[in-house]
Amino acid sequence: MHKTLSLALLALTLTAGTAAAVDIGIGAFGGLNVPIVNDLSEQGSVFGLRVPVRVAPLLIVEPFYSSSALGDVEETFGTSNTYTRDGGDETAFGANALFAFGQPSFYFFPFAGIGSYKIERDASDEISDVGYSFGFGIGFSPIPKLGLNLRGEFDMIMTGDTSQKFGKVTAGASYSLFSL
Amino acid sequence: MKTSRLLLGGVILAALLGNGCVITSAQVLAHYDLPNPFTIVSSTADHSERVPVDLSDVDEYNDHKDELKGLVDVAILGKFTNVNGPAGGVSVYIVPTLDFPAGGAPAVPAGATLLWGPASIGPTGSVRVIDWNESAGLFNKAGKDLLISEVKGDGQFTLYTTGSAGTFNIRVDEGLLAVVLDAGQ
Repeated sequence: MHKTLSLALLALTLTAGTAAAVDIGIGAFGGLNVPIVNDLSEQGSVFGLRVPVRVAPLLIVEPFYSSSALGDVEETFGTSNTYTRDGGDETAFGANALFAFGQPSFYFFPFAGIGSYKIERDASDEISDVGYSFGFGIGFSPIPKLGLNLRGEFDMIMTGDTSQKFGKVTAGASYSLFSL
Repeated sequence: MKTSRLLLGGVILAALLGNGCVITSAQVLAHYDLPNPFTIVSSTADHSERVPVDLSDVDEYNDHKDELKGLVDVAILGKFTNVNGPAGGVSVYIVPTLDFPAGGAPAVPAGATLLWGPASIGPTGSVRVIDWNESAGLFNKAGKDLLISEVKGDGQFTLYTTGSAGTFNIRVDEGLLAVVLDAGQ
């Protein structure tokens, strides 16, 4: 599994390395994290950092770190008691590849990524596995160097023969630091 | 540029296919109601309570039985009342067979595996609704492994509940076994 992640990150790095010039920024984002066909957690919040590296007019490679506080599950099971189970926390780091179409002032971008995901929940074994993300976003730049974006994302964390899936809706801002 | 995109797409596709297509998997919460109420008494003839469990009575289990990969969460829940006796604990043992009749048994079978506990309870008159998080942390690994094996198998097993104090009379109301099934094609 880690070999797969290493190969994918290597591919992203090589992709970046073939470009003649790069534009490097830093950004932050926040939004909602919604478990999909997953009764272990309820909707929670997600925050994180991204480092967008524009390696070509249409291609952005974007290392990221994200942290989610998933919602607790409440259930009565048809009894007179209400039980609450910790929804857990999810952290991830990895890299996305964004394919940007449009002008710098307004563009849209499908993207895909790979990362190392960890889910921790009270009284449960920690899950630490590779995950994949896919999504679509729109971005615009109201002033030079500042970018804003809104994206929807589907995350799938591989847990052996099954996976745990999450949908994320985030809003983010980034600032272009310098060009090489 | 076109080569780079193809390379990236190929890496992701290969990674997905290499791990099997797990897109259709799900984590499904289900529960099995234990007899309501049942008592755990320290008499010679009724030292533990035998609870046969057949998960085929649970709709969610039947819906996913053929695609079960395991359990991702499990807990024993309910309201525990110490009817008579000192403070002590409640433990649950598991055997992989469906043992009848349900009800009081003279002892936990010699080959039973500790599944859960002990969950502490105060002296006579104490009432405790077990917390879901705490319950999930009270499982013994060997017993949990056996439970997972049974859930992935025929779904039939027997729980033996017993007390740890010298004398005990504990009533369990609205007891249940809560599990999160890990299912995938």
